[in-house]
Amino acid sequence: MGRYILLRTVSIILQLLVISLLAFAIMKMAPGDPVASLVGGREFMTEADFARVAHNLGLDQPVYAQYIMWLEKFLHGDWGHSIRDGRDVRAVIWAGLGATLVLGIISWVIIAVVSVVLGCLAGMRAHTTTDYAISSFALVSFATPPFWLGLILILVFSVTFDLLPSSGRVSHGAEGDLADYLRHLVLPVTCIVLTHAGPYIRLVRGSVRDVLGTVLLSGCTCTWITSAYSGMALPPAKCADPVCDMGRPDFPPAGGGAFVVEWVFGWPGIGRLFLQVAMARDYPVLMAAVLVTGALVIIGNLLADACVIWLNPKLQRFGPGI
Amino acid sequence: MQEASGDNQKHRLKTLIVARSSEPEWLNPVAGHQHADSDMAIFRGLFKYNASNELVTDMARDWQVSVDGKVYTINLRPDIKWHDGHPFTAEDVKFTIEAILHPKSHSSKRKDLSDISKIEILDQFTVRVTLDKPLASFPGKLRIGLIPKHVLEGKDFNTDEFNSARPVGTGPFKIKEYRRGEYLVLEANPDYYDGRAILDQVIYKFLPDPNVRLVQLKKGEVDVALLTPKQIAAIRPDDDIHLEIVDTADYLVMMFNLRESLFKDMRVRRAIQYATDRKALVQGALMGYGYPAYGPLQFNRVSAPDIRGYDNELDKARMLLAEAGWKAGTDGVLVKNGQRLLFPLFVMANDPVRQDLATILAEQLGRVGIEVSIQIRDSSGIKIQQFPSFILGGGQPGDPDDDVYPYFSSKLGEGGSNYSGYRNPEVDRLLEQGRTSMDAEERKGIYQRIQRELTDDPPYNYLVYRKHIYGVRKGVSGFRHKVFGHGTSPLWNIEEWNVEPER
Repeated sequence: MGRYILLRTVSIILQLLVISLLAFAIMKMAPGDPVASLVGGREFMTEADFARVAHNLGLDQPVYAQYIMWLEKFLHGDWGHSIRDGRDVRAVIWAGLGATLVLGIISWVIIAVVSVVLGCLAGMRAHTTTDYAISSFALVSFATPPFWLGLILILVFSVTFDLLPSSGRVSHGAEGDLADYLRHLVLPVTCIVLTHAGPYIRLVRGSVRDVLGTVLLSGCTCTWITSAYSGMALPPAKCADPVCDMGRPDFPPAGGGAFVVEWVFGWPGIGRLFLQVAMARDYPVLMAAVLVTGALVIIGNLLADACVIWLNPKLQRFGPGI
Repeated sequence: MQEASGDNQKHRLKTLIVARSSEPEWLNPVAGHQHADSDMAIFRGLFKYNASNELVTDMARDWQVSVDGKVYTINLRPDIKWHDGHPFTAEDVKFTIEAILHPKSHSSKRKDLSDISKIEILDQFTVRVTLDKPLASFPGKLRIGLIPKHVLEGKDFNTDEFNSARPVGTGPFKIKEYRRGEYLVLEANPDYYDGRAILDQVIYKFLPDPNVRLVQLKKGEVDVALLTPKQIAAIRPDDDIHLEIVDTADYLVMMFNLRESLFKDMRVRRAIQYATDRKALVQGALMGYGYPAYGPLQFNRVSAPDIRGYDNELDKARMLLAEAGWKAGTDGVLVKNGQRLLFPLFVMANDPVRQDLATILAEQLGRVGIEVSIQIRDSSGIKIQQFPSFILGGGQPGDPDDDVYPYFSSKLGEGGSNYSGYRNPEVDRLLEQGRTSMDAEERKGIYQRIQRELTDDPPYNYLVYRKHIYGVRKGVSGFRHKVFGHGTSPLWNIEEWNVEPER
């Protein structure tokens, strides 16, 4: 076990290093200039001033030197300051991370509940109208782009019926009001759940079908009671494997879909931050955002592994799974 | 409606909620790049533009300039306090200018003040600024917001919290609460030197998407919002919104890159000017909310009244192209030495109006056998100097020097804002003359000659001047018309705005 944890830790550090290196390289290769976004474009400075600002920010160094400089500071806990607005990167990232985790965890829990319930139902009643309805819903959900659904939700619930706020996290003057906060969460969470639940429903349905077809139950007369039993008790454990696995890239739902949802609903999370700083070529914030989301995905993976092993101890002997 | 619950507890504060398309990256007026908006509320400068876009004193009381145009003596108003109660003095003026000129400064305003050679404090309320060479537009540059020495001295002005959380200015409003990415709340400064503002509170909401701005305006979640021409059709009489449609000096042009051999031929540039139907562009891309553009400075006070360029005469366009050696090819596109008359036109992705404009323009140029391929690019990754042609926008109604010198003077070198690579000795000479002459009438004549020269030997194919369209909710007053510039805030006179208490 000790060896496993050690291997796992080393692999995480290596993964993060590779992520940071790749992110840095890609950022530097992409066209665009953080100095231009800082001063609002080249028309606001002479060429000499431009070079002076680039020098102040260390952008005139060779790329590898910039990377080493950044890494050294980062490891010492100095995440630097945003080029775009001068704020402390660590504070910016933490603020965004909090908002993203709230949105992500709530959505993920609902996705889990919805997909297990609907997936079991569809699996138990395979090839009935219920199954077709649920499976069709899953397919549509799979195929719906989050940005589009987001706009539709705003149009319907915010504009037409005026039931829910269209953007932001809290209304002005209602700070600390939990009801207001929850009202702001409804649309983005709905949007993430509706566009992300599809594949999980299909997975759970498949697993339930597998379980129902195994030796374990083949002796029984397949009555409603046995299928209900197996539906309630067996499959959630058994079919958790593929769901946990599938959940890896999506937990935190920091995948592209949730980023877009944050953007559409003006949710001040790390996804929206990511898009903003990427457009501004704000390297210090972008690097920190990449690493933090990278770390989240890795932690999500670890949790998923732990869940799988906890639910199905036999898998443990397959090793660290690097 | 959520806002209402908050207001009740605060005895019906007079609150104005304004939609902004972008968030200020810096609240500090001398750090980074500045948008025109909230600085007029929190920070003030020595000078400002009034309702007829004339330069008047703001925190300055009066000023004199020496005969040679190099020494400015500025007396300050002695009755001004910073938001924290400290008195405002000449020390703050000197500190602000030195902060901008500091080698570590990343202010986009630095270029404006680079001619300053010396700043002296004559007494508590008098400063003397000496320039290397005369600059007629210099007082206009001192509209820049001033920052307090007692707060910022000895601090890193690129990263200090002042920039993002704790600004201290002298303006009619001071900061109350800032939730980055969501909103900024300002409250009235009771000690404002021109009298307390009528409003108690101003809330800026940051809504980058024009559709979201329209939705919130219709729902009453914001009181003022910039609209696009196409959105006007969505405003209904029972929405309780009225429109304010403002003339502007904000133009859109097709830049000719004169480093391209195609555009070095003046006949080709003129033919393109002739092939452009500007009235159709105004109708098609701006839904009629704009004017045909024939040159720069058209909405400036110095503009020649009769300025009129080459417009929509296809025969002349064809003749010029034939003269330049372009002959009809097999598919209607002109050909010369085996080369088709084709160029890419680059447009930024974030402005649908510019894309509409480019599409219609491409069609118009197609009428005389010019093929234009439209290329859409993300605005942050571009170097305009590298594009053969590009849809540019800008334009200010203030000092004419600001609107032409940075773009057409060949003295600024390759990398700067002379995107076209424009080099015209006559224009260069006039531009220098215009900024060094201290005689208003003489300057007017100079800029009218520049206008004509820039129409005859064009760096840009001038297309349209936009009107800016604002939706304002019923019960809100204070919107005052003048010729706006690119980025002018409708709240330029924020202290005069009011909202009816029962809305």
